[in-house]
Amino acid sequence: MGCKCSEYEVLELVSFVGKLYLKNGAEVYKTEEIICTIGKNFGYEVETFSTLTCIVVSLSGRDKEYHSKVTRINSRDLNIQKLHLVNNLINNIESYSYKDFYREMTKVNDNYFLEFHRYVIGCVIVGMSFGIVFGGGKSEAIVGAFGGFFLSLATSFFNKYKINGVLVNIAGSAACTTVACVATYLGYTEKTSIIIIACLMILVPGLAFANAMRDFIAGDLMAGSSRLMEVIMVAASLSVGVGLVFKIFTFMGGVIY
Amino acid sequence: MITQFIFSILSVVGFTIIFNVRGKIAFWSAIGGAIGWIIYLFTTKLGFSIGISFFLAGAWITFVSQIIAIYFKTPITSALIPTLTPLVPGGGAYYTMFYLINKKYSMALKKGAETLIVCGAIILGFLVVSELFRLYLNKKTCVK
Repeated sequence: MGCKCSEYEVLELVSFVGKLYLKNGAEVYKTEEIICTIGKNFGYEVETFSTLTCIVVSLSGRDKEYHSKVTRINSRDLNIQKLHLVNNLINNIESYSYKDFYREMTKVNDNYFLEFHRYVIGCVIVGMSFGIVFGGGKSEAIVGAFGGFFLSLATSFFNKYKINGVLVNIAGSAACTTVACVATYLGYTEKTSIIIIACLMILVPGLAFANAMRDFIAGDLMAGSSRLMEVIMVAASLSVGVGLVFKIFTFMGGVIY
Repeated sequence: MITQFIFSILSVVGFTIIFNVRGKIAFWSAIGGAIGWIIYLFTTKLGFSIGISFFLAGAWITFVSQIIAIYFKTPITSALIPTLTPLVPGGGAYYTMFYLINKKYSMALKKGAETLIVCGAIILGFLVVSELFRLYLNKKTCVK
């Protein structure tokens, strides 16, 4: 069916979809699978090698020559709604022509962002409910909600100016630790640790952890180990943020329970 | 236990909002994730070791998210990530850091080892269930 489109067009489409899929938090082996599926559907043999930061696609054309394209990925975030939509499109790939497929993909890429207010509400809910799940009471839940609120403000402010992810994590963890420490100082709560853990659960690298596991199990050791490095880096930056505020707080004479 | 159940549902709902999971997938993964947390609590109350209880919770969560992925035709990631995130041992990592700052090295070592055990147990549960599912699906396609 796809005999009309040229090698150039297929390469363009395939690397666009791969970038879209990987950028929003998919596993590496799944991305490679998807690229091969799309290439086969449009009538070409496509082989690919992907890591977390770049995708290399090579394609054997009709003119007995090899074509290839390298796509760099410089920022990663997570948006599962996009993954879901892309997956749906690929499941029904037979019913689209090349142009329609590309247009739908561009539509997915340009829309469906996570709105600011949803992010804030999500952070507040997580901070509040984990305050109780980890064994706190009413006052821990309230302080946890405030912590989640300030954490979401800090991280989205830093993300807006495209600051390095390590610094974003440090700022977020420092913000929620400050809230917990101030609440302890004013005497609202005595379970500082519970509040801090509850707020930190927002930033804990669950996505990277899950994807590292899935990549390792699928046999992609390189992608798995680089994901694992991401997990370690995020955990280290979170503990730096918390430790910094702790040091200042105890230096000023506060007590942490 | 009931308040724990309600608030763990709420926490998974919060994660589905943050990760932008929408609709019925979010609803069912919230309930599945809350049951996973309850499994962890219940098994520790029965006196199981921390490794085994996290193993069971991880296995259950993988099972639920595989079912959701097959039923709603979505990548497994979309159900797995919000349900798995509450189980990630953030508390263990925090306490490790906390004891390190206060120079209580033996306690820090204990907590760190516990965190590693929990991670390993979750991974093992995930691996067993997902391999079983893969075998089952392969068998189904072969018979057809």
